[in-house]
Amino acid sequence: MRAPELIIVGRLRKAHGIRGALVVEPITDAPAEVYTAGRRLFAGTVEGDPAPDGAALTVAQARPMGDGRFIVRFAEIPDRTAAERWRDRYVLARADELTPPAEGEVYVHELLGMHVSLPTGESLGDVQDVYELPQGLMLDVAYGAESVLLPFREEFVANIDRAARRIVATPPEGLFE
Amino acid sequence: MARSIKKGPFVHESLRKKVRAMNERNEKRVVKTWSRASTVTPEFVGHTFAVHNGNKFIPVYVTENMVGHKLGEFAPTRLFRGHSGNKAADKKAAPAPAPAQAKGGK
Repeated sequence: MRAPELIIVGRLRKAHGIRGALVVEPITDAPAEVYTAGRRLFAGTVEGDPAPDGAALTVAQARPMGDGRFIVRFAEIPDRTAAERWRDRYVLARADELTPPAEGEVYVHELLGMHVSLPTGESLGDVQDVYELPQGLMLDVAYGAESVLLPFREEFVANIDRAARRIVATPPEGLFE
Repeated sequence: MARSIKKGPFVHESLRKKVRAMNERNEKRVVKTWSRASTVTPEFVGHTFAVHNGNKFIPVYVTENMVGHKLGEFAPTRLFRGHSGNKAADKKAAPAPAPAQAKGGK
């Protein structure tokens, strides 16, 4: 049987207080849904991979700090000494326990490796990186020996097929040349 | 100190000429520029500029809310890959919607 897919939902930053609470930097679009009492999360390594022991962490208490971060107490972490050992590790959640992408949405990590082509079927290349810029996401598309950045906007991305891992792009004239 | 109002906003002359020529021909094509200090003016709206960031050209699709800013503000010289790097994270995205058409104007 295939193991359930785990995806990153946050990073533990530092211990907070003496009762084992941690400051968590959420890496999710729905932090209030993930950091709620009773939610089961999984320990990750500092690189973002699932921990080899597959340790589970249960959220006992969570509250927002006001700057986007959360102060979270896990049932398995009793005091500050134990909390200090979790610094900089990622926390993950089972993908099937999270809200799936809505119609027209896609996970950002799924964009990597997707094939980009024109509506005529002409191939452009694969997405090799995704950047977050002030004006939104930017896809770095391998094009010949170089790469071209394509804004992730409705004007330039006509269709995304998640199953076929294909993006139909309508780039402005002069971008891919 | 702020720039003198008498001079108006700075736009590189060759860039201004290219945009005006495209507007006259009602043409839309990417304009490559190294002029990061040029101010976005209302006549830039709807055009895409490839702004150099010192390494590569960053395509900037100009919308109304960018007017008054400099082109360089939209082409960071350090590209941010996200907090989770290339690992699977609960971050979703949909293509940014096209801006609503402005009412009035010329």
